[in-house]
Amino acid sequence: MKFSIKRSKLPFPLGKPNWPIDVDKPTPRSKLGANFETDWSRTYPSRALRALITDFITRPAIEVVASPTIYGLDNISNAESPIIFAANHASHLDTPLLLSSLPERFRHKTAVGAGADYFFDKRYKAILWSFLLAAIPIERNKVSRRSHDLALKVIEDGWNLVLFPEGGRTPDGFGQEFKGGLAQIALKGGAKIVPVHIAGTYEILGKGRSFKRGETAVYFGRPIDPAGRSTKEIISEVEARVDRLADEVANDFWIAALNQGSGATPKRNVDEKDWIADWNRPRYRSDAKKRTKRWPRLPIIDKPI
Amino acid sequence: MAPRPGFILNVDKSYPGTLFWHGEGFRLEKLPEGSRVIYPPEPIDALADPIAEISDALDNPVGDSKPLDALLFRGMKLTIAFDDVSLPLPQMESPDIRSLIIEEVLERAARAGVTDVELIAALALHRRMTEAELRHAVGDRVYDAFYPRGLLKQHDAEDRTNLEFIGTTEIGEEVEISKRAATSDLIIYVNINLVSMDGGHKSVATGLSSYRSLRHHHNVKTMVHSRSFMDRHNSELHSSNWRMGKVIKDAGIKIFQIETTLNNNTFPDQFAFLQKREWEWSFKDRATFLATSKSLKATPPWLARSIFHSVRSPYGLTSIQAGEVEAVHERTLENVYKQQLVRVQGQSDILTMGLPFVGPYNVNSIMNPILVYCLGLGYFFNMYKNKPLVRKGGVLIMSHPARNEFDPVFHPSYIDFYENVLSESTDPKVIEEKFEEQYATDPWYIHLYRTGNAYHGVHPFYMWYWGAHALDHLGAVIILGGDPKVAKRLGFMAASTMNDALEMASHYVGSSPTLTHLHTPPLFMSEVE
Repeated sequence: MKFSIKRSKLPFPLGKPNWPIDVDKPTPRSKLGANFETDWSRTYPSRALRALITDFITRPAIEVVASPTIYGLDNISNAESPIIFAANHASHLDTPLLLSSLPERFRHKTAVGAGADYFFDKRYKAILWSFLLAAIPIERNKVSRRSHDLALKVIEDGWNLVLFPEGGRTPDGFGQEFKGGLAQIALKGGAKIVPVHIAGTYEILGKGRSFKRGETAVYFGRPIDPAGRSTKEIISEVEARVDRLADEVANDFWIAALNQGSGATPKRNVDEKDWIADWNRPRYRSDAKKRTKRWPRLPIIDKPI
Repeated sequence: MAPRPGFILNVDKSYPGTLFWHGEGFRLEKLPEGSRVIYPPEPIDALADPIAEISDALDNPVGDSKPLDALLFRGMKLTIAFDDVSLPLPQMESPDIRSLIIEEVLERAARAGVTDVELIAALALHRRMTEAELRHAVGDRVYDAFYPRGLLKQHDAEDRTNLEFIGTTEIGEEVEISKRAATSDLIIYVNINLVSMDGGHKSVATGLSSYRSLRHHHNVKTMVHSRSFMDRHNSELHSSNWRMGKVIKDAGIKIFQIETTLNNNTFPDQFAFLQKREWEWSFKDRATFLATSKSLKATPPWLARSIFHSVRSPYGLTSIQAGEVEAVHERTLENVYKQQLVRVQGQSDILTMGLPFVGPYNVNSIMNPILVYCLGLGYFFNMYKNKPLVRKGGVLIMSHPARNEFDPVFHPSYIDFYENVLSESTDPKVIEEKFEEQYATDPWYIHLYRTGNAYHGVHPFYMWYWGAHALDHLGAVIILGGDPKVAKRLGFMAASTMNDALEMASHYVGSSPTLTHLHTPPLFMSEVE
């Protein structure tokens, strides 16, 4: 390894000291990704400016692009901050849609957990998303104490947090399994979890799809108190509740209640072996229109053939 | 700080004045020295987690009843009945407690595999609720799931094909209720017990019944002997309903009663001054009062009405009990009294009260002269235990504009009652004998009741009977600030100022009468010793 010695023009101590050749120089710590500093985005000036943008630009734009119908606000009418809103994730539209749909008392004090590797990989992106969405970096691919601590700090400061426990946008329109980090943060932060189901954003701007205006539905469920339960229990309840909300949007309250009562709530994440369910839900598929059906459409069969 | 109980102020020179409700407005009146003003108790603490409390009540019923889950089974026929738009007043902020309870009951029914479920708004002879009112009561989720399937209905007391005669009581009162309810394996009735009159056997025996049944207790004799109809154990109205309840029970009809009580938190923050004592009004309260009362004077009544009817009350749930009807109701009464009861020493010569913009029968509508009468002489006069706040032969002064205004959609038969019946007599007994049957069986009123949003033809008669006890008891009634022609039609007098009203009252109670003012709403009930 070659070392080059840069000498200061001014003698020490007036100039910068030279680094001794025998001492290893530490690699400078990246200021991006999970290390990006976001405290400034939760200060009052940033909040005020963001509130103006959210109320006067984002919300009208979302109304035009996604025509959201909001359900379940009564479920959170008595809820108190801090709350973790846990939603399914199908599109970049989910975050502005969800923030726009929140009641005002939550809307301007809600941070968003965003993938550190995607939203915070470049300085301009990190600044932009921190400012526009109050995004905080969440490490998706490895366990990160900093992400965890930052999320906890945000909650301890009385902020609400939007998390997408699927970890990323669905590649095919079907839901993905929920990851456990959400439950850890809720448990340690003492925050209740509000399950949220977002429908219709995949059709508008799904991963790998071109943009197309459409209609969406945002459904807030009743808050879940994580206290005294295991992370596994919490996460499976949140997932089950999101599935139930999805069923209510697709059908109605009573059908969904009957389905849940008989253990037949449709899963957002379809079992790969269940080709009939896959076949019968083409509206979620990115290639739905292009796909040529090789088989005629058959009635739904409950039992394996 | 713990909520303060009701308070009785003895008026002296230092007293700042008293707020009187005056329809869609207010009056600030100076009462004579020595008068007493009864203030309602402050709102008691609401239950922190209503959902958990609902669940707990369904799991731990009172009286001789199994938990709800044990009463639900696959293949059963389940009917869920609920109170209509007349409760609570004003309408409560969303979510309405009925919607939370109904959702929980439906979740349990679904878990038990019950598929034959029907929801019925227990209207009796009240008007049908509008879509918005139904949505508010049961919640959007339940409405959207049940109404399109025809499984959310409003009780039709004139649909002969859907009424079931159950039997007669030991004194010959006929009991007839909704056939769907009568033939169900279980009726679950969801109550909001705003006052002590609500609930108990009255829920099913009145709410789901017909004229054939109602006429046995909605009559002059019963109402005059209900002292008061707010006091369940001294109310003939309730005794009759309890007899009917026994007939229903003996017929094998199972009822799982759910009753809820609310606190006194009646007005949202922007109207906080309405539930404060005047000497505790802050600068903000005084400014709000002045701005509100001045602007309301310049506002046309229809606009003021629509503003007031859009007010949603931040009521808090104070208790929920479920199970066997009578056991549930006794516990409910305790909880209602815990919030509303104020002990008062002795009666007075004059009782004054300000009547607000809303009563049970003019939600989203006009408070016509008959409803003004009913609210004053029916409801507020009867908010007592033991004996009325005013002595026999005393005077009632109630403040309300009492305009000659009616809602032709909601109250069509009231218009004819006012023009044709009250012009002949204001004596409840005469009215009952001479006119009731004709109005009760009029096909046009029945048509409007069944297909529109009209109160039943006989309903204004019931309103008149509601005040029969007060009419019997009082020496005179004066409507402060009321239309003189309207007051005359009702058989009362009108006064433009409080001094005039007191001068008029002196003819009945002498020149130095004692006076009590009911500072309500928020509602309270006086226990007069």
